[in-house]
Amino acid sequence: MLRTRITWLAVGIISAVVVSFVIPLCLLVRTMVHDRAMAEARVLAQSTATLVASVDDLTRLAVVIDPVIQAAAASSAGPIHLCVTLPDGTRIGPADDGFDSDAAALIERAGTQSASFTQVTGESADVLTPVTVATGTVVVHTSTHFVYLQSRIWLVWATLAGLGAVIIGLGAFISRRMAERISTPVTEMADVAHRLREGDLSARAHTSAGASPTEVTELGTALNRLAARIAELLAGEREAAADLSHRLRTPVTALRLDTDLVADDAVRDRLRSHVEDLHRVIDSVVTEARRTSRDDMTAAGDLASVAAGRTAYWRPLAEDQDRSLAVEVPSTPVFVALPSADLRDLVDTLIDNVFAHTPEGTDLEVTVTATDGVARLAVADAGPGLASVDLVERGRSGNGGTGLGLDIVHRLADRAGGSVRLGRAHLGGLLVEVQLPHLPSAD
Amino acid sequence: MVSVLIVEDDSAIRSALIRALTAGGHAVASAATGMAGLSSAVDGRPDVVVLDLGLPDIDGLRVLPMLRAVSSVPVIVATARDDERVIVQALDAGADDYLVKPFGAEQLEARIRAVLRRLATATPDASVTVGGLTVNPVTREVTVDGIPVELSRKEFDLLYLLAQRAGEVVTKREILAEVWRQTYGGGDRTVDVHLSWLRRKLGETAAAPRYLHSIRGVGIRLVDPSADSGTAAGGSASGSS
Repeated sequence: MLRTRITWLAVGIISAVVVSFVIPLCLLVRTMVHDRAMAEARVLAQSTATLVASVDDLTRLAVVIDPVIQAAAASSAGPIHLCVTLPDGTRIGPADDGFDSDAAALIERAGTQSASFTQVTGESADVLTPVTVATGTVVVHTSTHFVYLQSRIWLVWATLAGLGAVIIGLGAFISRRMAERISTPVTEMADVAHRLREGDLSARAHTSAGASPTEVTELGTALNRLAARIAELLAGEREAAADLSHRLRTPVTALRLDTDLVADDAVRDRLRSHVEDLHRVIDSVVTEARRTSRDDMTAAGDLASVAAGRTAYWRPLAEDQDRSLAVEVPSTPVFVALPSADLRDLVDTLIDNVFAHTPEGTDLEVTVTATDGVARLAVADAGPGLASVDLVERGRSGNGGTGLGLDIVHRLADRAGGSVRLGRAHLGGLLVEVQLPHLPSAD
Repeated sequence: MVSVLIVEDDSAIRSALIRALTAGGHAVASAATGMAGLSSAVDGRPDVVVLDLGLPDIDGLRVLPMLRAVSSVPVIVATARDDERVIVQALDAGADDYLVKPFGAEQLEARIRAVLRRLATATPDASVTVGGLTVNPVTREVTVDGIPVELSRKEFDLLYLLAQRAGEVVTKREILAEVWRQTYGGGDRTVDVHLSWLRRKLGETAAAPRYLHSIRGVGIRLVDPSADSGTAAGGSASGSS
């Protein structure tokens, strides 16, 4: 679907942009948190060193240092360990907590140096500051373990991810609304095209400028012009059919009137019969011309309801003629590619054939079925089957008296992409079966 | 003698009509255009006008209201278009009857007679009564023993035709020409189906007829069931020429 596709495209683009900003931002945040903790550790080491240098009596150092240690453990930049190693090896502060197993080595190294240094590993940062006092070197060691910082980093990352999701969601919503502005008119136009196909020539697309993009409006205008053109052509064809009727019937009328004046009865009757044949042919030609101009646009008709309606129409005559008329028609619509008017002609012609070519009292059966995409209309009778086949075939070739009947059936079946089959009915007489492609539905 | 005005642009038809109607003993005047027809209708005061719809100067459908504005002469419309809508428009515009081309002289004369008869009997109660059956062509109402019966348009026309000629055998050919305006018959069960429907609605069947009696191979006769059914079959069945 167009709307979904546009929405997904927008979501994809927005997601790519958001991700390409959020990931570096997350890394940056982590570095900043780490840096801040390290800076804090450095400041703490510096101030502790100053404190150590200002204390004369190292034995009292512990008392002074303890609150500092407590404060450092609760630092806002994350917990910082503070440990002061006196020249005699005594440690003030938490013992080695296992993270920095090489703390002893670091302290040893600091003891031999005069300058402060920082060691950063993937897991921690250690700041060591040697302080020279009268009795030797005191090493102030502050360390921060990144693992303690991870929870705040996660919090920030989650916030960033949430923000990103909100942006993507908002983007999806807005792009969906914009996609609707394109897809809704396009869907409407498809609907208009369908209605035109079904024969509603008054169907037109809305083309109010501004409501939808220019291209879509343009498409709507083009569709409307096409619809107008189709209506025009159809009207022209109808006019031509009416004109054809007029042009053919006028001379036949003169002929018909003049035959009345022929004095010889035998000749007059023969002439009249010829004129009537001519009249019949003209009628069928005109009907056919009209049929084409009528159905080019209309597509589907419901074979089931037409068959039910027409059999109801014929039933009183069947009863008067002592014929049993069995009807088997599904209650659900069976759509085929012929308009209802043509379907009526189809069913009527087949039933009429039975009435015309079988004696009174002959049973008949009309069945409509729809299986495997094929709709079948079967009209069977209990008459003298093969003789009927002859009659019907003669009718088809057009030189029989009532002639044109089955020809129309063949033509209509052809038009709907179907076929006609003649056979022997289980009732004993003729079976005419018309097979037409079954349309899924006439949506 | 009836004076007939023919308004028809096709000269072949015009002269054929003049010949046929003159032969039938009518006084015939003719016009080839709508305007000429209008003035002839006013000046000549014909008894009936036969108007072609496809005229070169004015459409026949527009001539009708103009004619109706100045005259109440009965008009029979002749059209080559058997389009129902055109016919309905013509009848609505004031035509009294219509014929679809091609038609024969007999048919036209029958129409002229029918129109004039209707004019003569255009009394408030023009209904036809046969036994318990009453057919009113003005209100198009039908009652059987006082009970109204709903009929379709063609069913009514068929019943009215039969009732007007009660006791006579009316051929299917005549029925096709009168009710369906088809000049060629045969091969068509239309009349039969409508008759069957009519029987249903009048409460009878082909096996047990009351009013409608089929005369096999000839036609249909409407009789008064209360009268003795042994009377001779109507003699005016006009063959099948």
